Amino acid sequence: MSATRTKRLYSSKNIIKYKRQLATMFINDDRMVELINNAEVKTPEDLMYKNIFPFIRIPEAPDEQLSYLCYRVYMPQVYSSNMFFQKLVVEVYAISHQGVMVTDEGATRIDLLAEEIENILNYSTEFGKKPLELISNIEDGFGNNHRCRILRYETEDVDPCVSTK
Amino acid sequence: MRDAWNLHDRILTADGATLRDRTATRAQRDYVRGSEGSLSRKTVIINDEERDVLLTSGSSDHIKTVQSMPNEVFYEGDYMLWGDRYWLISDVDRDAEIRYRGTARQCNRQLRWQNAKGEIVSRWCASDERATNTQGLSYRENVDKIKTVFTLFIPLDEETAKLRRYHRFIMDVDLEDPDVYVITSRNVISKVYDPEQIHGVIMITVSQDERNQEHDNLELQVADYDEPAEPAIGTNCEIAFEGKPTIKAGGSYKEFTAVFYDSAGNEVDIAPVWDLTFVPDTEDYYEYYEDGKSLFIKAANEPSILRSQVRIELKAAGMDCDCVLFAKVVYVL
Repeated sequence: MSATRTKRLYSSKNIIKYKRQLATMFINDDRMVELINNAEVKTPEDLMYKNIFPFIRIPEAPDEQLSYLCYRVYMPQVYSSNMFFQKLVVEVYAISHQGVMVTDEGATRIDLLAEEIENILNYSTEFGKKPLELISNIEDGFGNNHRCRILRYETEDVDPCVSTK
Repeated sequence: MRDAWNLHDRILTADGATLRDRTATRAQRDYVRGSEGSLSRKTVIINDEERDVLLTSGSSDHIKTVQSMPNEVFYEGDYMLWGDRYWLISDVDRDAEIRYRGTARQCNRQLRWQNAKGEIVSRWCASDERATNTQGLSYRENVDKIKTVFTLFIPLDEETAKLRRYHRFIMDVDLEDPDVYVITSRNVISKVYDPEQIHGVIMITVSQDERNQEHDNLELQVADYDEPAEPAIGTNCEIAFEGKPTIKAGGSYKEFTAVFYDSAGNEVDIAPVWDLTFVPDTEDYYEYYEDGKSLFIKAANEPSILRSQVRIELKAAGMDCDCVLFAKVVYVL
């Protein structure tokens, strides 16, 4: 029973750490800040919870025309037959209102955002114990006015229970 | 004979040059005389001026028709203080040859909020009686919640014009356990007729919201209250910065700018001398550089430096000045 409690505690602790790491990587990337294109923010950190969300923010129909990133980090199967490694999933949503989809770079804003996410995250070693691998890159929609690109990455992290057993 | 005709003309045109002008002037005079004995004539304060108006019944006990005395003006969005109660004037008839006429709504609530500068702003507002028990906005919630929704009328001004959706207010008669409301809709069109957009009434629809125990300040009765940062002012100088005196671990460079003053308080251009002190053995987690009068500091995404402080001291060569700021390292999320 105590082992279970310890295991859950550690998986969440790692998830918090990785979410902070994602925030750091995105706001320190000049190209990402440029693509998000929020003229109202004075420093890149101000993008947090305005244009970069460490959770899935659902846009609402009468909302302002924004581009933003949402991400989530999770371990889909904490218990598994593998005693040492657990799957770690990082999903990043590049979301844009249709009104700000057009850019002067010959590509839509969500495609450019997705491209930059790949530049930042593909084979990154900041998460888990293996390089981050891109598993899927799909396009989807939110409501009537927002479109998004969802990049799903996977890696393996050390079983949070191993070090505490 | 000519003098007699001149006198006749002057008497005839004393109330106006044309028949229409004379009719209007006489109507104004009759209006004033007729109102003198009327119980509807009240002494009120509008825009800090005491004046008489006629207050007659409106569509309810809390909505009245207000009429000015001739040649006295009021606008949409003006407050009328009658006794100790505030009334908000709206729907002013611009056909004012005799007098101005508008609608006065009794205010029943003082809205309080914090503006972008950190100042607390308050405005009296009148609420629509047609409150409904429904949601003003669909949140795609899994559980249906009953929320009271109603419309508030507030005057248009520099502060109220900045109110937007999702702005929250504390409004309740129970100050210890109050309800909180969030703006779900904002109408700055329907009751703003002034082409200069100086005078008018804004209608905001608010919907009952959850109270945030951490950020809603019950003492001040202000929702989403953010403690304003104290400026770092020292002797003849100041360290200026945006927002709070914090450095986000894993964030970008935070700028701190030197401002120097002479003995008369005028800003002077002097090269700053910065001195930084970190917690021992943590300096490697920071990057910093100077550029002109600014100092830029960046902290790594390193848990061990979170909640620690960086001491920033500002001096200048050959000048009696000193200012110290403690910048706290905080989470980026």
